[in-house]
Amino acid sequence: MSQVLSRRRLLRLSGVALAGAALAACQPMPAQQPVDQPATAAPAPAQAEKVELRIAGWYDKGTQAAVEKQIELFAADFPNIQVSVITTPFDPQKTVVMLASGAGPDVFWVNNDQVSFWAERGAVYRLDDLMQSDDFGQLDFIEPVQQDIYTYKGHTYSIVESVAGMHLIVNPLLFEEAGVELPPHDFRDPDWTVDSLLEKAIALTKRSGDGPAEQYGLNVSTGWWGNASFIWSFGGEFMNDSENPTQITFDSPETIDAMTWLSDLRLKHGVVSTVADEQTLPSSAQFTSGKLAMQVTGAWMWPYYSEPEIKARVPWQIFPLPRAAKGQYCQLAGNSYAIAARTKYPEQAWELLKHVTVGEGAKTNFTPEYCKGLPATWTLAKDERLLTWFDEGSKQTAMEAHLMGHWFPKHPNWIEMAFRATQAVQELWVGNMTVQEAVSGAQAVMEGVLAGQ
Amino acid sequence: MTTTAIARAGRRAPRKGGLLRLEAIQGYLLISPWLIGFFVWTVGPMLFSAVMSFMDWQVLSPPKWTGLRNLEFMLRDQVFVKSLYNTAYYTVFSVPLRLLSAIVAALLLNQATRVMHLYRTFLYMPTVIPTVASVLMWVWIFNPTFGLANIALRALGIPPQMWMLDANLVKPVFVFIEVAHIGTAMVLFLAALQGVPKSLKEAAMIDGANSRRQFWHVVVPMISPVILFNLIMGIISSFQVFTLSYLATNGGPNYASTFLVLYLYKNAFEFLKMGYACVQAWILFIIVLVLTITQLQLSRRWVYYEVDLVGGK
Repeated sequence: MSQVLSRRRLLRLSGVALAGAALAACQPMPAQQPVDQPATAAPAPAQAEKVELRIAGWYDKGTQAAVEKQIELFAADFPNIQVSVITTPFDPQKTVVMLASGAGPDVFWVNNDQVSFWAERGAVYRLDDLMQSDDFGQLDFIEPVQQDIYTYKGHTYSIVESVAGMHLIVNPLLFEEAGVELPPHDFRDPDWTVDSLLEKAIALTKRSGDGPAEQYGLNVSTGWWGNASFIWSFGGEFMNDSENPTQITFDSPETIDAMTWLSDLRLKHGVVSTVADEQTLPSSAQFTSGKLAMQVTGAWMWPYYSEPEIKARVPWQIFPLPRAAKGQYCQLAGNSYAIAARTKYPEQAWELLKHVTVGEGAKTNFTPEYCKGLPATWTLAKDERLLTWFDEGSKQTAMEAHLMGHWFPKHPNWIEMAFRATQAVQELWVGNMTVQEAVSGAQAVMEGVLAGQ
Repeated sequence: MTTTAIARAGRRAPRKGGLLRLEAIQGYLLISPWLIGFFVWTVGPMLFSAVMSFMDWQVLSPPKWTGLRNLEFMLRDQVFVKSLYNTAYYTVFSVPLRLLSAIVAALLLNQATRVMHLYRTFLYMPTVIPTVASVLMWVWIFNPTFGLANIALRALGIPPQMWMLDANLVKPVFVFIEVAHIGTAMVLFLAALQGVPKSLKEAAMIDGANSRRQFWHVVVPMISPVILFNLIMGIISSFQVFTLSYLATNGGPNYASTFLVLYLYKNAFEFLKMGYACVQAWILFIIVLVLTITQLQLSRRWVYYEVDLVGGK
């Protein structure tokens, strides 16, 4: 008598088979290039072999057009290499998922505070050998950017693409209208301090009655990229060492002073728009509509603010950030390009990377619609085409920003620390928390991350 | 003949084994696309995440075995505890309020008036608006400076509030937003109300029941299965709240609107702590499973099914 295959038995067998197949499919990932071991370049394919590369970054419309021009130039020298462009968000999630799934870019943007994030996880190629073979030591990089920001544990993982120190971007028409003197372009001016910045901001703020002001004197973002420069200038620090951070040092009298000064801008002096106001009218819109006299920002805004109709309305200039009690710093923002550790064509990727950072491709950015800061080297930065649309004073500010440069700690979990610290201080900006509570809270959460959670 | 007797009779005289097996195989073949999809895309990843719960996996590098470390950390992670509290708060308030609003709306819409279809469309419309557009609209409504909410408060002589920028108010605001999206539940209740036999209400009326007693003793029992369905689905969806807090507040201020799924997402894709995120996902699953089973068990006491499912009598 033939045996009937019961439903229960069939389901059991199917479940075991499919679960086993699912588990078997979950193979451990092939190890990426570990941080402690040197990179070994794969053998180069023949010159004529067609290669496809992908380049990625959080490109806006203008930057994407610039990158496509760079690729056109690159194709003239390397006709066998086809490059496609991928736009990714600023936050690294999409790039992470793409790389993990094996469909990631070969060359991609790495932000100034993300090198350790990628390097520690073995996601980016170590460039030391490639740089040595191409005599990169001869290049006149704008330091301390390449040497200090884009290296990690003694090795280089990306090449700087743009150098962009945070600065003040200013509407001189509002200054003229209010009879207020413009700040100095020379950051060494001893009278250019946070106190004089505040005085100007107060003089440039126009308000009648309660509610939002008709015009604000200043804007400083609540994000760390906006206010870190002031924290450092007041003598505060996030961690004990930017290269090998082992201790959180955020909760200090200096940081308290800095955060007090920053929160007073909104809550006491009213020279900066409230968080609620910025929900409705972001600071960039305030600036372009003539409702904001000074904005702490970076060179990534230059292309947008250089659009003809905006420039005609707001003939902006840039100025250095002021001095505070313990120094005068600006966060060195800007990007770099790295090679994905899993790329199949590291040598070709290296050629592309060189082209867009220190090669002819970098010169594509020497126009108002594409320029987001200084290029990687002084040779490129002194090109006669660069910053011709700036007045001499603004050009001086741009060229000297790196001298005040400071940067975030190179901790592989910095992204998490920064997010948690942002959450911890959020209520400070709306007056629901004291400065000490905010700073202590940020200290505690960053310590939690550092403790290896 | 009772169902049991028929079943016994069926077992006493089985059809030939080959034919039965063939029928079974045909049946499973027909549902195999779904079965394969279920095991490959649901069960497989679930098992994978169960294994990853014991690993430190940073996505871009191979996972490392850490045993129960993720679970130990979760138990002392204040942000996780806060996210659990936020999610429970949201569920406890939004689910009953949403159910109540949906029932009331359905009762009102269950009137035979000329423009009722317009009211139904109007009340259902928030459900069909794309989520991102809807969230942005709510952010504007609750903007402390220009939002409609504060304009209304000022008109009533009440001081304006910070709403989503206030840690004490952000969750009540989210509950309010959730209650405003009653479309799906309302439609189900409306269908259930329209399925209540008029004869039962008439019989109750003849027996002297007023409208209130008719509602509680006739209508509510008759729609109780739909109440149970909406209750269970409401609990499940409220435990999975994500889009609103991700877009409107990113979990702030100071984690006041960080819900379980949002925190899980951040751990997985922003902090690259995939192993830890897997543990959180399993905790979420267990919580929702326990709550669902509890609701189903308790439902025996208050849900009335017109068809008796036990004994065939």
